[in-house]
Amino acid sequence: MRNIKIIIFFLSSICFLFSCDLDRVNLDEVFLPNYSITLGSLQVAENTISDIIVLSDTEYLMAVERNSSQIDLIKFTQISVDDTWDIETENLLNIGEGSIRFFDSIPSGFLIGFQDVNNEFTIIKINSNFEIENTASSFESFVDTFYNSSEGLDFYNFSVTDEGYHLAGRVSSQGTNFSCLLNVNLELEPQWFKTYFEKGVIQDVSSIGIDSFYLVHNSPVGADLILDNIDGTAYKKFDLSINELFFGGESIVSNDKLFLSGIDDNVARTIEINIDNQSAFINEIEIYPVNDFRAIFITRDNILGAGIQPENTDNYLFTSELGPIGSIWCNRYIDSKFQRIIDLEELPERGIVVASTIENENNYFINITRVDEEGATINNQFSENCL
Amino acid sequence: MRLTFLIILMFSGFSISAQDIQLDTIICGDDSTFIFYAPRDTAIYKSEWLVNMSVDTLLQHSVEVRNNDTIYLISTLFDEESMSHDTIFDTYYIDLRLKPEFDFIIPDPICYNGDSIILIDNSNYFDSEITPTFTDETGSELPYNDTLSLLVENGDSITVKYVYPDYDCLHHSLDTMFAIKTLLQPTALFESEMTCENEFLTIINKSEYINEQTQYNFEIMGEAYMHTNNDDINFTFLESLTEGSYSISAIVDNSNSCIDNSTISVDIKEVTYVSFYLPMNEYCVNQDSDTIKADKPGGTFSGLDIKDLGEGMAFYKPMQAGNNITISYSLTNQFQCTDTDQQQITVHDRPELELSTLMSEYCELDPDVFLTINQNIENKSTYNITLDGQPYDSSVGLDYIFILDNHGSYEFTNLYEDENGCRDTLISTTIVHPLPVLELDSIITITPGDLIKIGPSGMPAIDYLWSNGSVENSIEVDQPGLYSLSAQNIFTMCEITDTIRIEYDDDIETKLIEISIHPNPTSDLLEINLGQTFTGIRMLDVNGNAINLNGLSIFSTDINGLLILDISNQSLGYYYLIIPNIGNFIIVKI
Repeated sequence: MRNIKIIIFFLSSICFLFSCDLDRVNLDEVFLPNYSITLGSLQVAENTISDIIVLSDTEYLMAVERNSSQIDLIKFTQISVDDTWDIETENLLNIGEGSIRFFDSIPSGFLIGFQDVNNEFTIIKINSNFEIENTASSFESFVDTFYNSSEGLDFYNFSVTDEGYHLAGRVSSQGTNFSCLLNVNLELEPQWFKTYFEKGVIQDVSSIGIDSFYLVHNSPVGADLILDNIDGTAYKKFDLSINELFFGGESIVSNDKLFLSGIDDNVARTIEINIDNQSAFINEIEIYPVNDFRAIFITRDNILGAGIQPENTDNYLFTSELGPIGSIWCNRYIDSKFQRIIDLEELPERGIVVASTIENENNYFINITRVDEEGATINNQFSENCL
Repeated sequence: MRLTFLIILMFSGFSISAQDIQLDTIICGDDSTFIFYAPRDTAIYKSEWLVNMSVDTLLQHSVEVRNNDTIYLISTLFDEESMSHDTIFDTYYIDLRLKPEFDFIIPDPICYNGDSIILIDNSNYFDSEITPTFTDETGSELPYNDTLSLLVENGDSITVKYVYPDYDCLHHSLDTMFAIKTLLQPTALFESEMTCENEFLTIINKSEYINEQTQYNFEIMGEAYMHTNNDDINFTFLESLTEGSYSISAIVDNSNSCIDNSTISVDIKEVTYVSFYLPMNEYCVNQDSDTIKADKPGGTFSGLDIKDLGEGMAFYKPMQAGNNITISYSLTNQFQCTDTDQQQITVHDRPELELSTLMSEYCELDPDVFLTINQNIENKSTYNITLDGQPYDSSVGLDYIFILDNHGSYEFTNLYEDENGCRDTLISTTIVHPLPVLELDSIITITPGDLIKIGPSGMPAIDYLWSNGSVENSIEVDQPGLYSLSAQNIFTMCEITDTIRIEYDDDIETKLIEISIHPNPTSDLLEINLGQTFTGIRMLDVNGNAINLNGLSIFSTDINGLLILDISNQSLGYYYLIIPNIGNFIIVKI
């Protein structure tokens, strides 16, 4: 039965690949947003991290770490003047100083985590009116007694449960690091704390129900997928580390499937994990080499990826929608020295938006790229088909 | 000196008519003679003067009076016609008073000799009946008889007043004063103190009647010495005289032609000369000592930290440091003459050793202790260490690294000698307490969800502290981590820490993916290892066309899951490697 499904899926994909019209749509008729704009007035920290949150077809939200370490919540609004796209920014909230670790939406608003200037991890809950609702820090004292003495905490992602949040990251304890998971309630008060492996880090977490979760665990010896719950009775570790698999840090849970993306030997890779039968299926992208990659599972049941392709001294941005085998479409942007993918999001039937950073003379800026859902681009001399 | 007063009256050539001369008239004359002129007309009268009852025929018109005389004038009128004589007799009584010629002989001042000084009055009073007087400074009249005898003290002076009163001839009077004095005549008188031949002779000056200009001239064995400073009561001769008797001639000269002589007899006494021997000229405080012996007994040793033992011996053990410290031996003989032998030495402080950073207590396995002595000569410093009374270690040098590997009682003996040979010894002790017994398993592997108990059995007098804050000797844990436990002896405070590593069993895992494709990119061979047998493997180009290799487009692994494809004949570019149920992989042909 399983093999039949795979064959049907494979054949359907082949048919779809040969039947799709890959010509560019007529923008004059559809007028879908389609641009690649670098915000030269918004100089950011080299390693600023965020999620891009789509507020509407024309508005996005990101937390930005400026080059001064100031963290702001900024609304980006795309406008069209004389058939030319542009983006305006609006500083909604001054959050503080530090280095962003994560920013994403939660049911009641947004949650941001960052290391403040005193190297203390701080999480702030922001409501939908862009007001700070709750702030929590000093988790070390909790960890010191609940677990063991700690010298530092760092968290890189979080997941939402009905009762709070799981923070995935790393704890420094007794002179070494352990991958860890901290649970806080909706008031951001720490509830419990778990550790896993020495010299590792929990890069991402996805909640399953109230007390179970998937963890993407990275360590010097490879990457693992861990299924666990509060008391450890659900613990399972899935070895994904063959061929020195390295995950870029994106996990998606959809029903009984888990999609992970990553890079292996400079090849962008997505992994579809079937939880029920404990199998995995790898799909690689025909862009080589790749040194940063993010992927999302979109409403058309495909995976949409964006990454950075180095070529000589340049770094190109590419966006691609993956079919059963290879890309359905692929665009490459060569007008800037792209550095990292910050995030990408789907706007159903309106395309995708990709936030990335570019480097210009050791200064870093945010680039917003908008592509329609068929992968068409505007007539841009700096964009090309990368298939 | 002869003092002559010659009073010359200004009436020289005075003439007076005889008729005008009254009986007993006093005439104040200045000259010794007085000439009277005949008052008669010489053309008519022939005058003859009868003086002293004799007629001086030569004197016709005048007569010279030399004394108080009664003179007669015989005036004769001769009438030639009648040839008669008419004679007139005039009698004159003359009181002629001449001014005295004052002449006093006053002797020059001479050195006082006790005699009176004679003042001689050689004045010519021309038979004056007036008596002059001499009075002293008190107004008392001095006896006078042509000479005046005056007794003037040594170096003294008196004033004599002379008065010659003439109330009739006032200008003949004299009122004057004379100063009579003697020169200060010294009296030489000296005494001498008992003098030893190793001393300078001192002569005590007891001379009298000396002044500020007095000089003292001495002669000792043909050598002349002179002293002029009258501030000195004693005169010291800066040349030693050997034992014996000496006669010293002394002259006291007041520098006013008055001198006096004296002879001083002095005895120079014999001295008993002594010496002693010091073995060293540099010593160390509270370290070196010597017994000192003089060449002649009977004297006394003195000096800082010297203990005189009598019989010309002393014991010396310096207790204070210093430079040029003097040690003396003095002997006074029967003549009370003393000889002293002195020697100067330097006494150095001993080095004061301090052993830095050594504490009184340690715990076993504490960090190494770097000990150092507060001195600077490396090879003059030694460490000798005992542990529980047994030799433990020794070293030469200023520093020592104390490794606290063994517990017990340590004694450090530091010896040091400085550049002056001064030494010091420092004994320091310390205790190295044993550590509490604590041993944890180094690692325990657990299964997630397990709760295990870790820690030792509780020991008395031991406080426990876990890294998670627990103070129990054992705790229950279920999370991987490095848990440390400190055990501290409550009496010695010695503490030991051990660590236990709790980790998840890494073997509890499921391999979801087991595939190895390399090299990629490749130019020819591609090795695919799937760990188990797989079939239906295909390669597609980017357009989805199947790649045929050696007549095959579907490939299978061997029983070990190994598949090797040779794509050397394929065009450069991307290819899909389709592995059913495993995935679609990009192969880059270069």
